Amino acid sequence: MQSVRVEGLVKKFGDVTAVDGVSFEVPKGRLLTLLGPSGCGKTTTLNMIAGFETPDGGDVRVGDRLLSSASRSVLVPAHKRNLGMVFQSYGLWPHLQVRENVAFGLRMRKTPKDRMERAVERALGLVRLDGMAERYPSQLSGGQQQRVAFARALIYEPDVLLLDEPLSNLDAALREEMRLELKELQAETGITTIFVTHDQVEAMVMSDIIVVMNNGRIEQMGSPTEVYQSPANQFVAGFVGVSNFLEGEVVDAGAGGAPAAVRVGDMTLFCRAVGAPEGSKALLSIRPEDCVASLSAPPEGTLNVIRCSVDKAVYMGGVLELWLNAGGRTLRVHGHRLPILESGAAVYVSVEPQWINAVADDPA
Amino acid sequence: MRPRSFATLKAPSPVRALEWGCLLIVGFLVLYPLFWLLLGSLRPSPASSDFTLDAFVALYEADYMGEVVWNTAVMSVGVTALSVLIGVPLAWIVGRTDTPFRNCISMIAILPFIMPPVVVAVAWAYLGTPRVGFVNLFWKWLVNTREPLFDIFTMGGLIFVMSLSLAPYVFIFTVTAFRNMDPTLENAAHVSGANQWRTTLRITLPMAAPAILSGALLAFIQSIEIFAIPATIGVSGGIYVFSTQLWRMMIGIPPNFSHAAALSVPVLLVCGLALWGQTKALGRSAKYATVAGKGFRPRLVRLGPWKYAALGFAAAYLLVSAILPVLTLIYGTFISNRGRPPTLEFLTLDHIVEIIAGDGGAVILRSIENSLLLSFLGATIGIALSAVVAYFVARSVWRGRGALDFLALIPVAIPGAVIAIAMLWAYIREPFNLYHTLWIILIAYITRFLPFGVKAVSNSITQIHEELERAAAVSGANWGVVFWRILVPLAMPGIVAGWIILFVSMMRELSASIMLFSSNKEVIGTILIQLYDEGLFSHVCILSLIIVILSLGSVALVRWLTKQTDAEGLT
Repeated sequence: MQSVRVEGLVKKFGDVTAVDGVSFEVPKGRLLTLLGPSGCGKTTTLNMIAGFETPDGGDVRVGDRLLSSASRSVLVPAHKRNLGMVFQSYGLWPHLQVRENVAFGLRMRKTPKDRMERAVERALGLVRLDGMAERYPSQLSGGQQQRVAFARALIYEPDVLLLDEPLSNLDAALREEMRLELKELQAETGITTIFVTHDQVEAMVMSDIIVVMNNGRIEQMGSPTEVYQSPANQFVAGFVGVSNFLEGEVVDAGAGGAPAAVRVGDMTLFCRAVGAPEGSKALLSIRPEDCVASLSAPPEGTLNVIRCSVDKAVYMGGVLELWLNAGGRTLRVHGHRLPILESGAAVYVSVEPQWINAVADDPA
Repeated sequence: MRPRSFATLKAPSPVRALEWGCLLIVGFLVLYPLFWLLLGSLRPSPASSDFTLDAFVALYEADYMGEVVWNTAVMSVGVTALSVLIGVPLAWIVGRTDTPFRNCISMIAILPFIMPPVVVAVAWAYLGTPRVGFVNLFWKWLVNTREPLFDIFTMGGLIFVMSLSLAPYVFIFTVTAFRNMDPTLENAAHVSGANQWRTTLRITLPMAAPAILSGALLAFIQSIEIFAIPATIGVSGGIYVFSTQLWRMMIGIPPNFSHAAALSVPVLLVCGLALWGQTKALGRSAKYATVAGKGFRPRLVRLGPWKYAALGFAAAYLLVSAILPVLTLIYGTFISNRGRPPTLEFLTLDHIVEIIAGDGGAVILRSIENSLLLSFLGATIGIALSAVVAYFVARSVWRGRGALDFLALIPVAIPGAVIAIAMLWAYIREPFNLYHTLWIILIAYITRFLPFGVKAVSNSITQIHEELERAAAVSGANWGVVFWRILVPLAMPGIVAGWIILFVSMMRELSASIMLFSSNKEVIGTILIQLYDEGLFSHVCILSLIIVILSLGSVALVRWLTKQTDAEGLT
């Protein structure tokens, strides 16, 4: 088990810069997720760590071992990196039995036969596939194939485990189950893991650290709660979960724990402290589930009360999904314990200041 | 901190060295003889080092050249046109109509593999001779006349027999296009008010046009390249075309190497141009295949009573291209004397016994031996080279892979006779000195059929998900281990199928062998032509039947192997 350090990774495909100066560190035994839309460079980053793509710039280190460095002309080939990897479509070799698939890495490491056999039994036990050793991959279900892929990646105790969207081929129910199982497996083995996904829920459930990527760059890096509750910018707020964005002007920057005040149109909203000086522009992000919608006006003294009329209401089972008109701005709100509302109905929405974030305007 | 591992950037160097080695071998195989062919056309003889345009001038002034060029042009254009006229309707019948037995009819696709041109040629020479040809005898009996129905030893006969052999190429490309066509495009035409015929003419056929063109151009190249049919049917009628003219130059005493080289150059250009057009057309055809891999059924046209006419057309084609020739071969194998009715008293095994045990059989058995040796070695070396080439073309990120891909395709555009002439120029001299050896034939075979081997293996490799190789690499396998333990086993069906294709193609190769063989170094194809020239009817039939049976067995084996691949679900 080792830490991973990635510094200034760059990858160009012709004129397109797929990865543009990506740096992060995964502490020993932690799970870091590269999260982003397709084409954001997350898989290319993973492939450079694995050794399948040659970086045009930057270094990759596992522990104190330098795996690749463009400036120093170091490029350890993939088979000498001692990493484990689970692929999107598992990459199980169809011509080899489960036992042979799992044992492959040990065979490459010239492990004695008896030790190898014991290790295969143990690895298959770990992923609850005892007794499946003689089967061929095509004789297994999707979930079982995935477990074989994990056993194969873990058996030679690699320094780091790389996961390339391993859950995306499973159906919804199985994906949810495997998500937790995978998290437990990672905790049990304590292996440093880098996980690539475009599914924000997966990232939330599994990660110690989330790295949100877009256009080859890192938009934000932090714990799941940090990323969700304090998105650094509009992209993160919009990609991780759903957000309402309101443009305004800072009236009071707030200091010493006091909420800041931002003027949006003709209302003033109190929010978490902003880094910007008074008079500058600010973009506020409000999550639909952080809003409280009610038919009657909230008690006097409640902050951030917005009077709206209903544009559209869709009953989703647990919640009433509301599209509201707040002085010409559209506001998405999750309503709880409300009747099905007709469009045009009046609704009061209140948001506690701590749930309103001032996010940096997109630099682009 | 000192980095622990140093390695050169980009790919690991042993792999790069292999890639270079592979490019050099293929480049040498293909370009070295072509270089000598061009040089040879400017030299008076292989022993000389002078430069001259004499050969071109002599060809330009030769009185027979006008006729040869005219014959070749008429034949090639005629064959291409007739192949389209046979192939396209057959493809439409199989792909888009409710004609009964259309799955059986689609077996036409493998006909060229079962019935090589040399077999069709000799069989039709026996079927179509004006006085004693079986078809003409039947005709004379049927309508009670003394006039034969036709004479096969004419330009018309030549075009007819060649088209029988080449129509399947047009068929294969066209039927694929018809099958991959999105039915909604035709439905849209119907909804817009077009009836069945207008839809077929305005939508279906234009969409298939690139595929038809692609098949037609391949038939065109083949019509120039095939030697067996002009050598039997053409020569007997005094019609010389390009390939037989080359042969005439090479069997002269002494052989005229420089005229043969000079004559090859323009033909090479024509074939190269046709191949270029063919790949362009094929690329466009792929763009028109709007639905790929989805389970859909193309619209089938209900022909009503016309479906029996369609069936009759297909049956007639199968009758003349396969059934009649094979019956002729079987008849010739077992009949005591040509012309006798096939009744029990005239059937005999004497001819077979004679080949195995008799004096005349020794040369036949030796040619079979030579062919077996050459084909076994050639297919094995060829498929090993093909596998590495196919792998690099499919997977390498190296700049040289484009060049490799292109080089490995070139032999398709080189007629066998031209390869042979080029080989002679290249290998007759130091440091090779391979004139009058089996080695020169072996090298010619490997070069000629390299594209087929590469195609067979790359079909398999492209079906193997790249993750399978990456998974092995990440588990600690180096390039060699990934290749041997993962790639080769997974591509094995394609490799074996490719081996069989090469083996069978080499077993019956004629166009190049006829220029390269020498006494004691005969192969099956050359001995067959020799026996035909000597008029040994039953021996020709037996040898041809052996080729057909061998081919049939290989087709069955390849089909079985491909099914195995599908069953394993390597997608």
